[in-house]
Amino acid sequence: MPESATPCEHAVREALAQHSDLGAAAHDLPADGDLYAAGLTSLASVRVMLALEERLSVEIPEERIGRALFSSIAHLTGVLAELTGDRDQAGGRDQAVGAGR
Amino acid sequence: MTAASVERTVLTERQALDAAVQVAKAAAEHAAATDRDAVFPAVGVAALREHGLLSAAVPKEYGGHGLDPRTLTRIGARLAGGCAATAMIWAMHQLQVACLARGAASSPEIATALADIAERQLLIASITSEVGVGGDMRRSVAAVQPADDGTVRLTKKATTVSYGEHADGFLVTARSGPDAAPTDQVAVLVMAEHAELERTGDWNPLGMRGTCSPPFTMSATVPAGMVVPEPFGETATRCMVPLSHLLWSGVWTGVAADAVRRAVAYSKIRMRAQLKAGRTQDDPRLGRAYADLRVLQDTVARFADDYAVWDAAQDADTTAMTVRANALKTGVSVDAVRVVEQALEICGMAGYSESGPYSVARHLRDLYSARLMIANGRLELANSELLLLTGDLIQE
Repeated sequence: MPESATPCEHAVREALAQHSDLGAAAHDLPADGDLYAAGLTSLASVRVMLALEERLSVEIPEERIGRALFSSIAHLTGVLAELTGDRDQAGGRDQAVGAGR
Repeated sequence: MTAASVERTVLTERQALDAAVQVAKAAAEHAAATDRDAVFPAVGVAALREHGLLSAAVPKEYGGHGLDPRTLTRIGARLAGGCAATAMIWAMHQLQVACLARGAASSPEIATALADIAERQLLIASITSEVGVGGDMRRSVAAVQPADDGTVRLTKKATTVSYGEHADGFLVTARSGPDAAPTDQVAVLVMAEHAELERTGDWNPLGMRGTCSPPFTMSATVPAGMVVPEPFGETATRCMVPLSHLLWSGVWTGVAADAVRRAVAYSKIRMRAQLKAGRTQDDPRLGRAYADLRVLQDTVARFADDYAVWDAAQDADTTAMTVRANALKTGVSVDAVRVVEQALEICGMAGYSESGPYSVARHLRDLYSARLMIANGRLELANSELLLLTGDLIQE
């Protein structure tokens, strides 16, 4: 895994290694490589998704769940980064409102 | 109660289904309180009016949307995912307007009344039940009494009138005249302003509490033109029986689908926790529940399509359709409960709770009404005899 990996990408590779048949190879896959071609099954992808939701405390909206979500590490990372970003921003806004009172 | 007349456009199938999702959302917010207090789901029904969905089954020529049986069934299922009482009231109302549409073809008075019902999005209830007929819709004690002034009078003691206190009109069955046989029935459209209703009992049931269906005695004097010309037996066989069993089955399946949705949500939470703890457990129950649900959904959809074809062919065999409709109703009414039971087992105590996102308690209570709405035993008995007439039904 490149040293510049973001926390989201790190989490994705960890989850793939732990919950799919890719195993440790998940750490070395190219970020834009086809995960299904590498051996990811749709059954394993469910566990990967749920593990990531748990670890990052996000819920992937139903309309984004599908085969395309797991097309590559980069794509999955991008979706999760967006969701965690939204969440952190929302949290930030809440705090700001709280502080304003 | 009656919405102001507004310019309405005919909804496409897609628009009607989208509207049903919106109504279901609005109704869902009040579903728990509707159930707890056994009150009419006013918000859900207001949303139905606002979206024009009360005229879903009214043919376009009378100002309705003229939606096909399959789409009507899907609307009912979607509504049921938000509030089963709202969905069941919608379904029962559609039956009344569909039966009136048959009458409208041969009666200008009924046609005018139906167009008014569609335009003003009026809510029509049925008064088919009666004290003294043992639950047989095809027998009446009450009789239409003609008067000299072009009106008819009618008094009926009904055992249950769903949303009776909230309806703008009623489709009432009665003997065609004072000397008519119990099975020589007509249907009469009685608008609320022509009726006096006296509530004669309580309403505090296990489920479907929002349908508000206590016993009533109704007395009415209406213009003679409000008597549907077609004998009620024909209306029942051609429309009320098959369509009621279809639309109800759609609603029950929608309730079961919502329970399975909750089981999916619960299973996701549980698996996340298991993955975090590093040990997952194999659990095939969700897959089983879904398989049972899917069979129901496909059965209902198939019946809807077949009913549409049959309905278009006026010389089609009525016995075959009656037997199939009865079988659909008795099957789905019991199997939908079994689906929810599986959801209950998956969700455990969270499912047994009367509140919370994984509760299926209301679903279960609501669905126990299904086997009683025209008792399954009565329909199974009828089928056991009708099947002796028509062995062809066994195939396909």
